[in-house]
Amino acid sequence: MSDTIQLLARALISTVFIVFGFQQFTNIAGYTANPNIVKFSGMIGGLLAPVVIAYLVAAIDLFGGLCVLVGYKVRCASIALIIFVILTLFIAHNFWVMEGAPRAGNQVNFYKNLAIIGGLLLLYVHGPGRYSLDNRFARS
Amino acid sequence: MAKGSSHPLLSHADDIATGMTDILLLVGRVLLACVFLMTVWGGSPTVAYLTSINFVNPGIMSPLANAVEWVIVASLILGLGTRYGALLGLAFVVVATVSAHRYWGYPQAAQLVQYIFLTKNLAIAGGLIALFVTGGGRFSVDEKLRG
Repeated sequence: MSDTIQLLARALISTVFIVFGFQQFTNIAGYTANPNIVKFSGMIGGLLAPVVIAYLVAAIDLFGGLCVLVGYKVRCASIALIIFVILTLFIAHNFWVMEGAPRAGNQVNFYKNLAIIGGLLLLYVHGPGRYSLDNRFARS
Repeated sequence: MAKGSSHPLLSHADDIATGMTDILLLVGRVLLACVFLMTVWGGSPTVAYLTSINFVNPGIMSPLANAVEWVIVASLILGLGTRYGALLGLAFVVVATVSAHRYWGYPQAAQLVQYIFLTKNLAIAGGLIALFVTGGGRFSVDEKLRG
């Protein structure tokens, strides 16, 4: 029954990305103003405007999450999400430069994100599994 | 484990995954263990914290939870009884999420943070389930014990 369990793992891992990707898309103005989005835009020298980055992140979250859920290009989607989560570690959750309550909160998020990267890595290693579009397409 | 998921041009990621399986399983195990290690390193959940969320028997449950966390950390990092460690971690995350991150019961200002913690814990639970499926790989005590 490992294929069924793997599907459950994909569903659980994808939830956080789908939920927040959807929220970002539906509130793109608010998300564009997010200090971390503005900060990242500055870090890359304004190469991409905050609104472009906001849409990019929302797309990676939502579509990356959906790919993992339905098992479409699972390995590519896992890699994309891993890169995105690594960026959040250093741009949004860099608790080591913070003090007080933000430090504690971001430290928790930092380590939770590390664990999420670990989970995505395992998806990447395992591949799509039987109950996935990848598997459906590979057979046809 | 799938060998190729797409046209050869698009399945390069498959080659890397199958070629580096065991090292990636080790990295995945360590990353999953980090969140438990960070928590237990600070002595969490403390008696005071468990009391504040009205958890049953904080005086007993706090040291028990700490002990369980150390077992999870050791199991995942060493790859010792990896699948049991993954299930124990899953149980821990479920209990922690249900007891501490019911975001709707928090004041408005704290709800978003608790909601984020809840959804992230779902993802971590998914990662532990994925570890249960894959097992610990070759770089593990389990593998050495198997001989």
